[in-house]
Amino acid sequence: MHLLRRAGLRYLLGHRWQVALAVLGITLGVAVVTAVDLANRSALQAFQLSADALTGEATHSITAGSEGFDEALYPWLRVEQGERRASPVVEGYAEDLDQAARVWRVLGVDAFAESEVRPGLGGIAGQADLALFMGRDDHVLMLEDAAAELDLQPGDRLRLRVQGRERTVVLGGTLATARPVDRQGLHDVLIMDIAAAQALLGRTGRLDRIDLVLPDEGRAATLAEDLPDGVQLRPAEARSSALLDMSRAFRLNLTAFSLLALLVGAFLIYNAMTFAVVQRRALFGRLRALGVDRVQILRLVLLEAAVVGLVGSVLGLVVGWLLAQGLVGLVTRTINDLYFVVQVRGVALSPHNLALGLALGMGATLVAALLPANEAARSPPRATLSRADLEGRSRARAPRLAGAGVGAILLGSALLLVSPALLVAFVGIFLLLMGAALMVPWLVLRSSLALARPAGALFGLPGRMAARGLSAGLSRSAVAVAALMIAISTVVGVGVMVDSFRGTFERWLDASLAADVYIAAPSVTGEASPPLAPGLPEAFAGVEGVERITTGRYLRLARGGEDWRLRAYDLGRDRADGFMFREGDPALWARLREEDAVLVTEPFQSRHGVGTGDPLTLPTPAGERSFTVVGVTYDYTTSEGAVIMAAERYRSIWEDETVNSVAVHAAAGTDTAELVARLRSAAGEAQALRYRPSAEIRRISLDVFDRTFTITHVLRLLATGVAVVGVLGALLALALERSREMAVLRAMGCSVQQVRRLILGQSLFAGGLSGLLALPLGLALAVALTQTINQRAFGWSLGVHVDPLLLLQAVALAVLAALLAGWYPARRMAATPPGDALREEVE
Amino acid sequence: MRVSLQGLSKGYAEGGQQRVVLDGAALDVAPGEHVALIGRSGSGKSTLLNLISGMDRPDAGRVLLGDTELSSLGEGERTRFRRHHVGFVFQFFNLIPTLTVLENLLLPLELVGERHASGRARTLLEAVGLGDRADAFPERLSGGEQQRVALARALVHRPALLLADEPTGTLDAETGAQVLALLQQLVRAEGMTLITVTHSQEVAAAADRVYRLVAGQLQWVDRAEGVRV
Repeated sequence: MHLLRRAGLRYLLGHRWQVALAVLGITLGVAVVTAVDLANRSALQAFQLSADALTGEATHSITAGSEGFDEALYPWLRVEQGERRASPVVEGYAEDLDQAARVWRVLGVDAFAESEVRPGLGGIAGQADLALFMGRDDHVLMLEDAAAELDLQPGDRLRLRVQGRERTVVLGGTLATARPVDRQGLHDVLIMDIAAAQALLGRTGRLDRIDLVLPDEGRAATLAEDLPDGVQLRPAEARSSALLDMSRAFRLNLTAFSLLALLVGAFLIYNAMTFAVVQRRALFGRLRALGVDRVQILRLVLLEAAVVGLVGSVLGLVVGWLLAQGLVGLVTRTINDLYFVVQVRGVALSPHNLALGLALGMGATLVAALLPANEAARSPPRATLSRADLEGRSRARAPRLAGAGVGAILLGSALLLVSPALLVAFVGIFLLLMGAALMVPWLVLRSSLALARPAGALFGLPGRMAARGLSAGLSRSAVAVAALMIAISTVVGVGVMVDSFRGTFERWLDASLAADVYIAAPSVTGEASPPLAPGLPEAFAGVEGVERITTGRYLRLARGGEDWRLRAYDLGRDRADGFMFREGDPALWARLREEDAVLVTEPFQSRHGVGTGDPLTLPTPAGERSFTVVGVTYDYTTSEGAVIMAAERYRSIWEDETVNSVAVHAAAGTDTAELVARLRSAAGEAQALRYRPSAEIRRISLDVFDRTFTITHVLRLLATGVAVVGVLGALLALALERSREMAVLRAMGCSVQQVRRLILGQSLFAGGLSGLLALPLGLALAVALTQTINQRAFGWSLGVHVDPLLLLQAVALAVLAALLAGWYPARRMAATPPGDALREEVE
Repeated sequence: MRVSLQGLSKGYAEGGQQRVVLDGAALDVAPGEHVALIGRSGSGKSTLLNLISGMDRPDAGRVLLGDTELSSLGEGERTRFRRHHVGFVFQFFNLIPTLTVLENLLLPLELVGERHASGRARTLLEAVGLGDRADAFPERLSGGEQQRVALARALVHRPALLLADEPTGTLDAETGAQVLALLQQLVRAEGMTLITVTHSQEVAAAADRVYRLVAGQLQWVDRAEGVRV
């Protein structure tokens, strides 16, 4: 081995603690990024596989929003239009009552048509007993893999809950599929004959879609022309890509948070490599004197960094994979709560993860090591550069760095304010953080000098030394302070963001939950409640103790490539009390009852750019119809957004009396529990319904909210962990460098406790300073997150709510982290016999 | 302060083996006397100073400073004893870089509870010719200047015993001579006992007695036969 390289590797082996901390930093950083990427990717892949298997060879789909369309369209398509490669579908979800948390996708198909469109299901006719499959209404098929996993045999029964009703179906047979995509994508699918599925899902006479294989776009265009009003022809992948698009902001947010952990990890590497260079400045000088050139020195340091980076990245991939096992549950739960139903069965590292983890780990390491490597390469021949000179240079550089920091902050702020793109906003936040980090050396210098006098007055010369110690070792202390500041500022920023979000959400819930009891049929997560049996609203209205009821109708309208949510409310009056208006006021409701006027929710406004006064065209059974947007309401139920209409208007245009939910306003003095009992008895056994007092809805909603942010808390915790490791490394490096100084103090008669206090005092100062600097940065981050990121990602505007306790906790956390990090060096230093430290050669 | 070393032994573990550095070394230094210790590199001179100052403990033997048997004291008591009664001058100056020149001098005073004795510190600074550099940080001073500050710092709290470890070792001949003269002058004026470890002929020549450390033992050097350092 080349002698220089051997010397470098021996140095790493001789400084195991220091190297271990750097490796740990990069390991944690890479682990978090890998875990988030794995969790996101697994959820997406599961969704994509299921979408691909269900799409099969179909090129297009005929759809008509959530209500579907008349089944007569199917014979029309085959006979009149001559489209033979067409397969009708009815689908819905069913909870498995014997397998907790398993949700089946029920797919009603025409066994004969399937082979033309979906190869995965093409074998039904050949493999299943068609007489049973088509002749009975409780027969289901599933993939043989799924049946084997659940230990089910043909003839076994499955207890399901479908739209609030308990149903039992029989496993009629299993299907073998050749394609891996089908095996994975159809794993959670129960296949039924279309007529049986219509009965099970309460969709008699209706189809959800017809999947088609069309020869070309020309044929698609002519077919689209011929379709009846309200029915649309879309490319087959449009639906899945619309769903994915909705969850993109959520996934991007997670990725951004994970990169933050890597950023803090990079600080650690920078710190470790700077220390490795500073410690050997004399050695590099000697090597230069011996004829080693600058490029060789640069290469040596980068090689050392690469070794650290490689070890850290590989470990990070392993830890990340482990972490992902837990994280994927959190990610899919949130996606299920908010976007669509997806079930992930296993997380596996792909070549993509390996490449991403290694590239980010090695990249962050090499970038972080570049500056110290350059510093080493510039070592003059012979050991002429003293530590004091080096620190002097770093002090001289501080104002310039601060200037660059101010520039970065201004640029970041401008990006946050001006650009509408989410990705650019994240770049803005990154610049904000980097700018603040660049300002740290100057801030440490100024505050260290300013604090020396009061610290001296309070604690004597050791106090002064503790304060000045940070500026004396600026090249190291600034990195530690910056890393801790960034970690703590994310604690503050994300904490304030979550608090603000929760506060806003709670206020909105309080305003919206104006009724006392809400009644709806149970639904699978992410889906709207199924319709209530006819006559039920009237029955509820007549119950004793009911002052009045309001009803809600929820459906999706096929519009362009998307399904827009439409909500039609019968408030029974002219005022929309309980709505929180961003534009307009509750008195507008009268117009909604009389005119073709609608309200839109805030996320709808930001997604589609439609506001008060704008026309909005909606597909109705009688063709497209133009409405005027007369107001915008706040709404935090979905980031998709929704259009709100008065039920009176909806009924007359859609000729649909269906109701999905009833809100009951109790008469004054009515006991809610007794009222619920009376409502239950009025409903009878016709339909299984959920009766939820507003307090329960509030609690459930906040539970979902807290669940959504669990992952944010986990990531925040990890970033803080990385920072504490960083501070430990930096303070250890500082303390080790000053071991001789401490030995002199001991020789002069300073007690072990005094030396320990001095080191801890310095840590305390570093921690306190980090905490204080983190407050304004964290608040700026919170403003960026609430006012820009959330607005752009989800379309929600949030009030900023700052809890002083959170700020205090953040500073306390910084101080605690620093004290923890200072404890080991203090102990070690105090335990080292001063004679030993004095004996070491000075450089 | 009288210094009495009796049968001092000290060894270090080295590669799994014990290396004996001091092997029954003995010495008596009268109050106010100036003794120079010479010997080859690695002969244990600095180890001996560490034992005399109480920074380290002997494996066997006794260290008596005045009436105090240092080797029988605990770590805390030795530290307090050193704080009050011993001054140290190092080869590499070892000033505290985060304290100004004046503050470096005030530190030993503060440690013995004389927080407000800055007059003494300033006087000593004047005496070593650096009265105008009181507010400078050590890194701004030349080697000779730093060693003069170190000298003043070692004397500022009036220790009865001054230990110097090659005080002119890193200085050029002329600066070394200046520092040595200053050391002699201040120590004599205060009546302190001085034990100096040195490689310098000049330093050894200025001492009252010279001892050589050979094979872990102290041998008196007869200056009539010439001092080879």
